[in-house]
Amino acid sequence: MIHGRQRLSDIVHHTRLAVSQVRHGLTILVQQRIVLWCLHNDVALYEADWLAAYSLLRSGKFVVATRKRIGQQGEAILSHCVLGGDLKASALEHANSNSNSGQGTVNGTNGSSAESADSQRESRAAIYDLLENSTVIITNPSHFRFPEKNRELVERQVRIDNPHWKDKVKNKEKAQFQRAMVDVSEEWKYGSKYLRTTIAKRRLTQLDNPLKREFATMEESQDNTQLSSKTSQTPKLPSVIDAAQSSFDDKIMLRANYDKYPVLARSQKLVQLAADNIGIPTSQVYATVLRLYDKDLTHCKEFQRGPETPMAEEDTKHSILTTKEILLHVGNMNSLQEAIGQPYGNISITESSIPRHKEPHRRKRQKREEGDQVRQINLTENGQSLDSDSDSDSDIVEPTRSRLNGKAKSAGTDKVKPNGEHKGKEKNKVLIAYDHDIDMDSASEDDDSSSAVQYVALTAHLKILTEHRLLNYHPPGTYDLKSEGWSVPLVALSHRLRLSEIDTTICTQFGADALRIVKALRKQGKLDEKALIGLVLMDSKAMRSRLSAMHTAGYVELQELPRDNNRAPSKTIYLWFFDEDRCAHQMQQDYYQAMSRCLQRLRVERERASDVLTKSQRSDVQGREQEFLVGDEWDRLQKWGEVEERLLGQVGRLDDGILLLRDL
Amino acid sequence: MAEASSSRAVAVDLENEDPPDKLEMRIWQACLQAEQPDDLWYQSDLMALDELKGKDTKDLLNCINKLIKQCLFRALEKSSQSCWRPVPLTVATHMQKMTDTERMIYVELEHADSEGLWTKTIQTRTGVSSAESQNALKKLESRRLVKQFQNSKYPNKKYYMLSHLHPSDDATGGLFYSEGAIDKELLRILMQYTEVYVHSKAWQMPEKALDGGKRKRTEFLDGADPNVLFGSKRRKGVKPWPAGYQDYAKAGDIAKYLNQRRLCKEKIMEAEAQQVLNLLCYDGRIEEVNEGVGYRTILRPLANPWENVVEKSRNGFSEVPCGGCPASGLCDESGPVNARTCEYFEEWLGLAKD
Repeated sequence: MIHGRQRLSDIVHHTRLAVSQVRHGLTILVQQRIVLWCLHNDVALYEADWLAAYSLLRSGKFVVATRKRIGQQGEAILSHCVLGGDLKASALEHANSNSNSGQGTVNGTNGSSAESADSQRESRAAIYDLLENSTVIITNPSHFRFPEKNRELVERQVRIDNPHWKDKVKNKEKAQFQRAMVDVSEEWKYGSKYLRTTIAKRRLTQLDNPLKREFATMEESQDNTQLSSKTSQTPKLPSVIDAAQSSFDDKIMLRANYDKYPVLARSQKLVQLAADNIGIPTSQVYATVLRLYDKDLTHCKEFQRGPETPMAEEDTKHSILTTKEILLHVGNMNSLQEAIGQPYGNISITESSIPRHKEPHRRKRQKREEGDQVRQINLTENGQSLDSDSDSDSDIVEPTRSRLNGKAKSAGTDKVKPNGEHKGKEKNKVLIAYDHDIDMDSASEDDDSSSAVQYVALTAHLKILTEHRLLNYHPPGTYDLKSEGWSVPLVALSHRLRLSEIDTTICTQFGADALRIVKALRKQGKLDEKALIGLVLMDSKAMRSRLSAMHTAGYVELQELPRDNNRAPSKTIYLWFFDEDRCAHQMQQDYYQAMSRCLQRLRVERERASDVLTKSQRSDVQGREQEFLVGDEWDRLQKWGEVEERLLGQVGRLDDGILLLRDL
Repeated sequence: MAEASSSRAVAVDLENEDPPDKLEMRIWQACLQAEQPDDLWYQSDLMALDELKGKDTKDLLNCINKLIKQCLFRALEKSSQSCWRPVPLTVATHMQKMTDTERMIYVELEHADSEGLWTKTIQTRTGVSSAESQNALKKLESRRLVKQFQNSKYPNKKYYMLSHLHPSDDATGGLFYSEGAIDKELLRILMQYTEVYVHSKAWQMPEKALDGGKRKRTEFLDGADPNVLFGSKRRKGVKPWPAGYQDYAKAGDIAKYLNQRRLCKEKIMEAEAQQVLNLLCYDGRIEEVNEGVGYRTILRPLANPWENVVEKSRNGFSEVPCGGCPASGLCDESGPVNARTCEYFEEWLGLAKD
């Protein structure tokens, strides 16, 4: 790594090892993805890929996150991938099924052949699951090449595919060209989108009814969450097992997609953000949305695309979720309905509060409105009035109002705000319409009215998330949507998470005053000392000391603007400013440094405890340490365990910060 | 000495003359009584006065010269056109008694109005020496015509202004400053009360959350307890309002509320309430709801600015000794400070021998 890109002979020279040893070592390193290689003038060149090596640090966290999403089977497959690097799909399948069936038997002997076939099918299904989620990807030659070689080849490929770019790309078309490049390189890196959708479709077509399909996936996800809490005794996953019947092609190699981990981790952080800012129930809704949303994400795409190559319209369209989709995946609806404030608090959405009117003229209106029900809900929830018909129907809505008012008065404890009350009424109107629509259509009244109630409660939560800038709202009509759609503004949210990490570090290191200064600078841009004092209302001395401390650490910057050619300090304006990218970069370096100090210290501690460790690792001592370790040796071993846990845990926590600063 | 005697002569003139009879005095009085934009009189305006009917420009020039001599008119220039401004008698009487330097300084301070002027600025504008201007300022101060004040932006500079004026908010720093320094205690009280108000409006509270259930909810704001802002009390049982809710706290409401509470002598304006809200935003304790609908509190703020305490659990970097280590720049495996010998690590890992 120190010597950069090298030939085999150079490595032999530098390492002073035998050629065969170096060859063997390189093979393993290439398989473990830590070393990249490429042919240049028929000579193989090797280079260390430090980012891949760094990502090994995350393997544990990645596996745990996958277990939460996909279940134990997925976790087992992924851990094989993580340990083995690039593996043949069929080998992976066998390895996993063997270890599965070996779990329940003594001495690792395999169970019956039927069991083994079952577990093989399960692991195959799990591999498909992982492939669909792009947690595992199919190995591509581009994975072994240097990035710039890949870029060169991608460019060549794009020029071949699009002959009009063969010679020169016009300025106007540069963005398109860049996009095409990004698309091809992503396809090489993460496999084609087509493959993933095919897998998904193949799985879904196993089930006949569209509604059932959705519920099957819901059950599956619930099963998976249960799985994560239980340890063994894997229950069968009906939707998954039948999905993947065909076995894998022998040529297919699989590898873990470490770029997926930031996606999963970001979702976790965002759910935490929602819980901190709004409340637990809303954050659960958000978790569901994110689970549906990041399924298709292979990596934190928006970061790598950059501002010049925004998402194409079809991508945006593809990524919008409708309320119905979300509704099918949200569990535990009861708490949702009670989790919103007063307008809901006084006029709670329960079945009893929905009046059931069956007047004939109302039915007429219902018929007219059939097929447009979601649209009406949208209108009312935006706080606008209903269409002109609503006036003529006021006699129907009126009884509800009086009932509701009565209820509000009898509850009588809270101050009823006029606009809140108004909103409550409107919401109720919506419920009536909804309830009635469903009465018309379906036989099972109660079920549908409750699902309508759930729909409204869910929409309310989604709208709160929109108000907190955690979701984007797409009204019906945009992107050919038939009902309301929701998408996650990932670029903005990644930015927000990064800023919050920066804020936390600054706040803990330099105090709350420093946070005030940095936030003021971020909002107002470059400021001189006087203007800054006016904004943050602090003593000039205290402010100066904070600023200089942060300046020394490299988190805020100072610009000098001389007013004349002499550049005399007295005739220079000094402007303080906060450059987010520079600060994040500096902080990232500090994090790396702290991380390496932790690892260095770990080595030191290991050296100190080496005598006890050597003794405890002896085959006769293993398992009976307490018996063999005399004097303070046992205590020292215990202490070493604590220290190791603490240092490694801290490295993991530092990596969480790196993820926010670098990978989002 | 010559200057002093001439000014004394003018004063005597004014006392001896019978003002209304003289033409110039009638002009001066007419100018004082009439309304004129910016109180500036051009030659054409003066010639249009009834008092000057049938008179020519020579007479006018004569009158103006006399008035200027008696300090009742001040000669000015606007858009390279000469114009004059009448001066009230009280001021004129004072000015007649002044030396030329004092008069120049007085005029400059009058121009500066409530902003006041720094002594150095006075010197450059009037072109008099430092000693001379200091002398003159002392004399003016002893006659209670000017006063010195503290400018919050430049606490080390001497500022002067006319004695009957009050320093502008810009010069004193406004409500949050007292005697040129920030009034931290007042600021703390204003911020905490504002935050309590914002909090009460931003979330649906459980009945007992706001004041321990002693009062009815509508009355809580009278006995607002800032403790509700800290720790888990801030989050306990609060529910968000539905989207589109409009009743969040705004700067106007907060100014009104703070004034009702009579937290300080001065009246709190909306701009000052806004300043407090901005501060709370910078401290990460409240945030703006979409498009200026109002403000709401952040349920899990990062820090408590009044006690400079970090409230939230810390991140990975802040927990290791390297975060905020004074020697992190020197720390190197081969250097004098390194991970092997680091005493902060010893302490953190619980290995230090007491």
